[in-house]
Amino acid sequence: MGLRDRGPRTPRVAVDTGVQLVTAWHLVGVAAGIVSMLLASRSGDDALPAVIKLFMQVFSIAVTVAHLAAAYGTFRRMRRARTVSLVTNYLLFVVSGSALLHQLGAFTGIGKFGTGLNKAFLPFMVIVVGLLWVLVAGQLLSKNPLAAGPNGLRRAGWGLAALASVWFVIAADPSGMLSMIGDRITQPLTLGTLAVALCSGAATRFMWQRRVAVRFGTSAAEEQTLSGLAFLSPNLIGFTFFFAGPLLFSLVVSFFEWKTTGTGRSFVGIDNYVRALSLDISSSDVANAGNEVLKPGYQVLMHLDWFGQNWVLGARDVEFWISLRNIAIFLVLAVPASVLPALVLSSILASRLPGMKVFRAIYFIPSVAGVIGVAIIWGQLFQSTVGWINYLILRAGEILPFVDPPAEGHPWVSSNSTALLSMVVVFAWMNFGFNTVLYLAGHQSIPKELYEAADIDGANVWQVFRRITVPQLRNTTFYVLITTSILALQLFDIVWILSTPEPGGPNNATTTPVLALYEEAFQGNNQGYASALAWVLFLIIFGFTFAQFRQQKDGATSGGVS
Amino acid sequence: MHTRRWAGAVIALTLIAAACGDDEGSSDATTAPEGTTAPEATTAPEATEGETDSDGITIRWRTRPDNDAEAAVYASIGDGIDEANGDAFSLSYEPGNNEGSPYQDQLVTEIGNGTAPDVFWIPGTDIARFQSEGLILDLAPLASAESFDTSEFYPEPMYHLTYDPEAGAPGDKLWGLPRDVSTFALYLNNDLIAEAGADDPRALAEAGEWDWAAFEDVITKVTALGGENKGFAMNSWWANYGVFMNAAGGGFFNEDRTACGLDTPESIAGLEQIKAIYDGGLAVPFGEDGEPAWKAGTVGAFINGRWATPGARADVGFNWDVVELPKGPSGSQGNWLFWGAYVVNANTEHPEEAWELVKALTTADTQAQISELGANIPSRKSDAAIDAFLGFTPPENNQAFINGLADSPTAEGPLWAGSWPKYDELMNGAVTAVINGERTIEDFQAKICSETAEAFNS
Repeated sequence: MGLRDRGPRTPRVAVDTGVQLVTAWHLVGVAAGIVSMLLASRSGDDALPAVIKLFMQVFSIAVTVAHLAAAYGTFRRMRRARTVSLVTNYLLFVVSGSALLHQLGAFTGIGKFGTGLNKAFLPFMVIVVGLLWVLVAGQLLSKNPLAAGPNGLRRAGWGLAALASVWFVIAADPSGMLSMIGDRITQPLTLGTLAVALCSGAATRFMWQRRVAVRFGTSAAEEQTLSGLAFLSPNLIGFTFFFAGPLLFSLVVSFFEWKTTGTGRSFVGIDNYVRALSLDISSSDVANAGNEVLKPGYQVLMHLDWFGQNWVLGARDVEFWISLRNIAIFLVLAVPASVLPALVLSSILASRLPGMKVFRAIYFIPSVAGVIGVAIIWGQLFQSTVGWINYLILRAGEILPFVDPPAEGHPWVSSNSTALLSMVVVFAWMNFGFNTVLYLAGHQSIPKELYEAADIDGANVWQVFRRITVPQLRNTTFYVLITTSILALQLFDIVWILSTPEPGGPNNATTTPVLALYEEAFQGNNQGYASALAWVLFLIIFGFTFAQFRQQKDGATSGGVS
Repeated sequence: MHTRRWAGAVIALTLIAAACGDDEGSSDATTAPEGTTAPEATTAPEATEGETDSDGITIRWRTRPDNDAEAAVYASIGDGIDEANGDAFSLSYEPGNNEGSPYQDQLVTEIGNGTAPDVFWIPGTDIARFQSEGLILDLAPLASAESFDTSEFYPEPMYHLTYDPEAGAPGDKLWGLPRDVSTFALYLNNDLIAEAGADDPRALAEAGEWDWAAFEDVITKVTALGGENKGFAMNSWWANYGVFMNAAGGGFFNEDRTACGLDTPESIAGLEQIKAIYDGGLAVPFGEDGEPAWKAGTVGAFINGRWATPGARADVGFNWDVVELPKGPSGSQGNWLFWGAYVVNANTEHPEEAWELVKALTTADTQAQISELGANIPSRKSDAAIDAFLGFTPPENNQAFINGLADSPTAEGPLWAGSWPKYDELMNGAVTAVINGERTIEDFQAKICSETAEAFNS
């Protein structure tokens, strides 16, 4: 039906008339942009907060310029004008549509959706059942389009869904929302936003048409580019607003002393970065000197004994430096612990031994388990007095004659010496299953002939693993190393749960950079400094990943596998 | 196909609209917080942002309940106030997280975004932080306009709630009203103590013989049972080791709370006592959560506040009770008076209504309702509320908490002359290092006040 030729249709709006209307709309946009700019720039009692004011000014200028360019171009029928007009109207439609939804309470009232669904859950399930019938009937009809049973099932499914929909509406009772929408839609600002959304939507719809493209002489390449951008736009817009925008915003914030509570901000340049990275070293006559030997504002980070001389290394933000040390140790331990077992295990699971599919599923389970639940369970396992790990160690000592049992259980997560190691165990346990799956996928791409040749040559299992499997999985290993390293460097949730009630404890033994910046932002109320820490961490992760890429590239250039 | 698609889209939108069609503002059409057992016909309204109902103003308020049952009681209290209030304004209750710091973290974020509730609860230690940032409203003008009497509340919280930072002393300010108070007690495993042949701490307390020596004797005997058994457990939270410092006559701060007091001989004596307990292997290792071990029946005495009682009632399968803290060298238990307060968002558009709500939430009747749940002690010195609290058993010896109140406890207080979170962080790290044997007490005493000086400069 979609492909059926419906014959020539008389355009509802002649192209030139439509373009003139779009041009007029863009001129309205120019005027509105100027007015918006003036309103945003007003001072006195009605002045907007600085950040909102700046945003509104930039937004208004952008809207004005875009509309002006589009108006001029469409008036002159310039080839690029259609693209400019389309992009302008489309973005304006997205922005005004989002603003309209906000004004109607769609975002803040999302909880209502769950409440309404809860009230009408039974009819909702009946609708689902009806639609399932339709789906099943469709599958059956695809094999035999004339079968009576599936046709009946499809009709019954639609009927059931339709009846249940009425039941659903009655049960959910939309009167409250309709009344709320009625109240809000009559407000001038909401009406204005609605008008902008409708106009920009209609202009987009019109300018998108093929006949308009012909009128503007749009090339096929441009059409393809526009189509591609249109398909990409949901992701691009989401990326821009929810990732790139906040990222850049945090960069801006990092140059300010910016309170999380919004109660103060002042530009401090790179002071936040200087504070985070400042170190001071001083010699001392005594072995365990305190802050007094350091510059004011510095605290002891560590004591050193070099060539018989006592040194004190201090930092302005000791906690951050300790977190960097911790995360470096964690990285060195956790990445191999997550990757090496996965590599070995995947080689076993890739074999055609009976029951391997079950084991593949079992090993993947930790990866899909919620990190909070996992951390809580591990916390109970690690408990020194009533935890299972110590219980098993103590019992093993009783049963096995060659094991010397400790006098009492070890405090795994509350001891400085093993707290970070405990986090490594949990992290590795959670991630090696997913890495195993990645390696299993890598195994599929290894040519079987290599193994057959090795078999003929009489290679043993270790030689096959060392000389064929490991080199052939080089690219997979690279990917696994990169992703696991990034995850390790961003460690937060496991520490947050396992080191409760003092996150990062004992005595900062498990503090990580992400934990440090979280505490700085939400407990220290220093969003600016926390943002600077985040960017330092970003640079570390970026540098680490870049180095790994370079190493991979060099390895590939020099022949790669051995 | 086109028609079907459009029809499908319209139907889907209609269903979504219908699902969103909750009749807001009506208390009978709303649900209780997830997982709660709400009292009959009283349920929490949905949280909505800055909305007004058809009759007028809606005031949003939030507490951090200790459990779901408590959340349901707060919801019902809110409904009761709402009903009694008539058409003046409506309430929208938002129970916060049950435990941990995310409650404050979420609150801080919401304040930054301008979406925080009109009235919210914060712990006593946060009053100065919120006040200094200008996040909470001074209610003194509203209170004085109607001659509101604050003398019925315990004086320790009111000291901080009326503190004038400019004057450096309590003055003509009112930052909120206390929701409730609590003290520490020792949660006892009576079966384990009896099995160890130790004296009953409750009897010793009754006889006035419950001091550090008696306490050490009891926990030593329980530990001597061997296996997983330990005499004592406490969490690594500041309040726990602070008890020992207080009981020895020391404390965290100097007299006027403007400088570190951790290096005084008395504070050091308290720290030595804690270290002796841990070095002697008499306690669950420092840093471990002691509560699971106590609930598992392997710990003789576990120190905690009243908020642990509902959990004990629900999970403990042995004969348990509470006893007041043992008296230290100073002759005092060294107990804390924990408290939190309802405060008003500085950016509220309806300060008068918010103040009305704060008053309503802290009346003797309201506090009696909460006390019946046994979680905390009323913040008003009300006999009715205290009776309701004492009547909530087990534990049988509820009086232990009241005795803690009568023993001149140190109020859990904010640091007006510095940053409490910073001080807590620095102090806690140092104390942990001492208890775990990574640092000597002598080194601690020599350096701790210079190390924590940063907190007073913040």
